Amino acid sequence: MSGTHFLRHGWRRALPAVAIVAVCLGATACTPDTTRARVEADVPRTFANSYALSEQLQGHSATRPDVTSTECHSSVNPTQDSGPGSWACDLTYTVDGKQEKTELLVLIDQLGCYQALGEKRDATITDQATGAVLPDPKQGFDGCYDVYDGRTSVSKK
Amino acid sequence: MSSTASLDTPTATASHLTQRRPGVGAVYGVELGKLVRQTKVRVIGLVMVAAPWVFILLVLHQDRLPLETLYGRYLKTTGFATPMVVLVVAAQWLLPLIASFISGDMFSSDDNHGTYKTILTRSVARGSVFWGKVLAALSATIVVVLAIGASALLAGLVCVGGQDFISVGGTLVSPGAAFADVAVSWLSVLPGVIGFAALALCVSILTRNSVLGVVVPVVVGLVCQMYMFLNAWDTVRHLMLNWTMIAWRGLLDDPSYTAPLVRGLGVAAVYTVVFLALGYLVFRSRDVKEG
Repeated sequence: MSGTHFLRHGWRRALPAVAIVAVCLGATACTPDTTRARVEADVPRTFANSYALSEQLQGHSATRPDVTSTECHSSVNPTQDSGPGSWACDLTYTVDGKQEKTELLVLIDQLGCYQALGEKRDATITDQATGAVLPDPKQGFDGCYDVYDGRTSVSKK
Repeated sequence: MSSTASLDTPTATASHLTQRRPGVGAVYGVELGKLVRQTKVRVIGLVMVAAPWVFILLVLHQDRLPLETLYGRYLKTTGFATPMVVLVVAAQWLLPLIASFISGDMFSSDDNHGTYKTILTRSVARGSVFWGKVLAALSATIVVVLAIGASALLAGLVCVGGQDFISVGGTLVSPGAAFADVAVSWLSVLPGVIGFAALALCVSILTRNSVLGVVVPVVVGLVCQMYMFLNAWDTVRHLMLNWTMIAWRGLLDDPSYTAPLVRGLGVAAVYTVVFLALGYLVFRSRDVKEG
């Protein structure tokens, strides 16, 4: 089959395949990438890592907090906790035997990544290794989550 | 059908001549040489390789960090953050542009100069010309992309240092493992870049126009990138070449996940095969006697 023949007549044969792809797209388009379950799974883990990183960069022992509860809600979606935009996350954690709370503003993009900002988002630390003054990782950190995992719950309480 | 077919008659003389025809390798060598000698390719290569050095030096001479960009907050913490920030920015706009610049006039330049008549009617099989040009374009694109990554890594290590790296999940990574993370991240965008190059090659063949060969893939890339930033159907976003170029984030997370990369490889392969097959079909049936 020549190229021009294919271009003239081949598209008719490709129509069923295109239709199948369109149906599949329509069927799966309702599953959002950003769900409450994904946010609540990733934010506390990355917060704990960033807390430990902050301590390490300052030359302290790598104290890793134990996050005991997390509650995140979308600030832009009134019907369900899903989709990119601004989210609010309340975390309760224990560090050195003391219980603490923090509220994070989580700015989530369309690509499954976010920037989390603490209450003292302008706080800085000094990196003991380089002497550079850096934004405190536990007051502002980035993270990404797997948009193909099974955490699809979007319930809004 | 072109006059190439007339040379393929099964006579002893013709088959003898066919055996002595230069193959894909010869075309590849010639086309790669032509690309390397092009001023635009040299200039793009030099500018892109120099850009990460200018970028990190500017960052180090200011107080603020690009916090809105992934890894931007760690630019002064570790030199390994430099190639990652460059990758985040380049994957959005620059890499599709580079692929289009190199591949967009690969075929149409011979149309414009009327040189197909001389190479296709006498010495080289049509398939060899096609695959030689395709491989040369893809090789040059891959070399330029990896050169940018290597330059960015070197710039970070020289200007900031080889301190521990930080994973996407916020954990420390040793410098040895960081080398692997940076290398894997840059290698993971190549399938998407090759997809854009295949689109540029296809447009170059279909339109026989160098400007369209460069502009159309760039515009397609920009439109896809704009869709990526819209709060629209996520499933459609997952089927775009740009999406495959951010799959490295999963590899650098802690714990890491590979689903975006695996799916991205499939998407990029489909784009590449479709565009190259379409280009090949049209190129094979082209009447080169028209010039």
